[in-house]
Amino acid sequence: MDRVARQSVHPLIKPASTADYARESFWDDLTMYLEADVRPGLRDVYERDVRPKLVEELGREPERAEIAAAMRKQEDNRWWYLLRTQSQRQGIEVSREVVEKQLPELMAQAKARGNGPGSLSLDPDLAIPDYIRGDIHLQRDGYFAASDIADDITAGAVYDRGITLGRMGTQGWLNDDVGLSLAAWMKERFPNFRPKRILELGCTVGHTVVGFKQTYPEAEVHAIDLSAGLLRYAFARSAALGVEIHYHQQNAERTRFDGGSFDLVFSRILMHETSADAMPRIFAECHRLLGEGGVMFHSDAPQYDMLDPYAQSLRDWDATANKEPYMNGYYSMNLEDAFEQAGFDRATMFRAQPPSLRLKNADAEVRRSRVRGGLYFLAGAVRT
Amino acid sequence: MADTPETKDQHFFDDPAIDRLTAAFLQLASEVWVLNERFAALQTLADEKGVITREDLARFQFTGEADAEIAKDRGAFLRRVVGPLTARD
Repeated sequence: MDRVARQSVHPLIKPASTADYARESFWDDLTMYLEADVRPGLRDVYERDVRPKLVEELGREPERAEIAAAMRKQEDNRWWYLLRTQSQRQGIEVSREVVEKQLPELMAQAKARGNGPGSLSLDPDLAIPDYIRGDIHLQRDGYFAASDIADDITAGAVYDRGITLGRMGTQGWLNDDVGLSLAAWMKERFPNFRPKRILELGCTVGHTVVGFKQTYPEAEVHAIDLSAGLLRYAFARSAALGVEIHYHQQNAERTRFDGGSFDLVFSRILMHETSADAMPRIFAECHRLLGEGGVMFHSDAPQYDMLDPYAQSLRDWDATANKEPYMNGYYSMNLEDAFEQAGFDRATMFRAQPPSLRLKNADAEVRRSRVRGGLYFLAGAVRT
Repeated sequence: MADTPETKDQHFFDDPAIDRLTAAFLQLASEVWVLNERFAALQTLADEKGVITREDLARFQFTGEADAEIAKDRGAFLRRVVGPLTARD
């Protein structure tokens, strides 16, 4: 797929100028080089230079935080942290510059999709929790990045453009691989499950939920997020793709939907961005929203109890430099205990790592860039 | 865990100047790449439109005053880029 095609996957992504695209590609390539070519080699540095000293000092194998602290003093790793932080910050910044230049045109495209399919329901009075504010992922104003224009879509446009170009199609050029892969797994795991109403919590621009509507076309599909700028974009994007999703600006800790009104409630990479106080409230809300036999799952990076201590320590960069400070709390949480406290029966709980549907057919460049192995972790339970 | 994220900007070397210098270096590298790509676009367009061939560009030599001018510019560029690193109090 050439650069024009990559920047034309749907009407809300537009080709940038030669210089702007070159600039975006520079930072994207630097990120991929650091993730795929440099970081795997740092494990050797750890094993050779750092681990023996830690074992000697501690008299035991080191834990995640001890490894992260020691690696922060290791020069090769310091360079990685520094370069990766710059590639993240500048990569998002240049995509934002492109979006700001294109904004009137993108807004016109969004406005043209105002009749759906699907719907959009915003709540300007919704209280926004502190944990989701800030420059998450080193983007200025994070999920609430906005211009002064009414009905702004900057947050969604930057997120979608950045991921679509930055991931080089590794999750599909419409970033639908996660949704399609998770939904395919659902069909296999629960073959007689026919959800009538589906809800995604924390949908950002709808990359995942679209795959669920396509897999369960008979279902009425809803999605919520806290950011109006993300939701306006998500609605326009899925409408442009001809997929009927009903978007709402609501808080996953306590939605305004009726109890027992959904058959499937799920999230994708939401939970690690919520606080320790919010997490149990979200699980309890899932329990309230589901009818009997309904399914809840949360898909995120694998929990720490599935990783060796060095692999756990790699998330130190994300939690600190990349400004995702709650991820350590979530990944070290005992999910099954938390689900039980929310009212779910332990006998119904499941964990799985569905494979990427796309990866097996991907070209070598896509496979090389998939440094996380092409599996999508999830954990969930059935409402009894 | 506090309910307010700790989101201070990080620096990774004991002397923050290294972090800042690296940021500047990467910006420079990015802009060099942008120039490279724009030049490739110019070369391709000129070639396609038959204005200047790739061969013309490859064989071109600055001569006379133009050669002296470009040498002067090169010296100034070098002093601008390397000067701050070689300056002594």
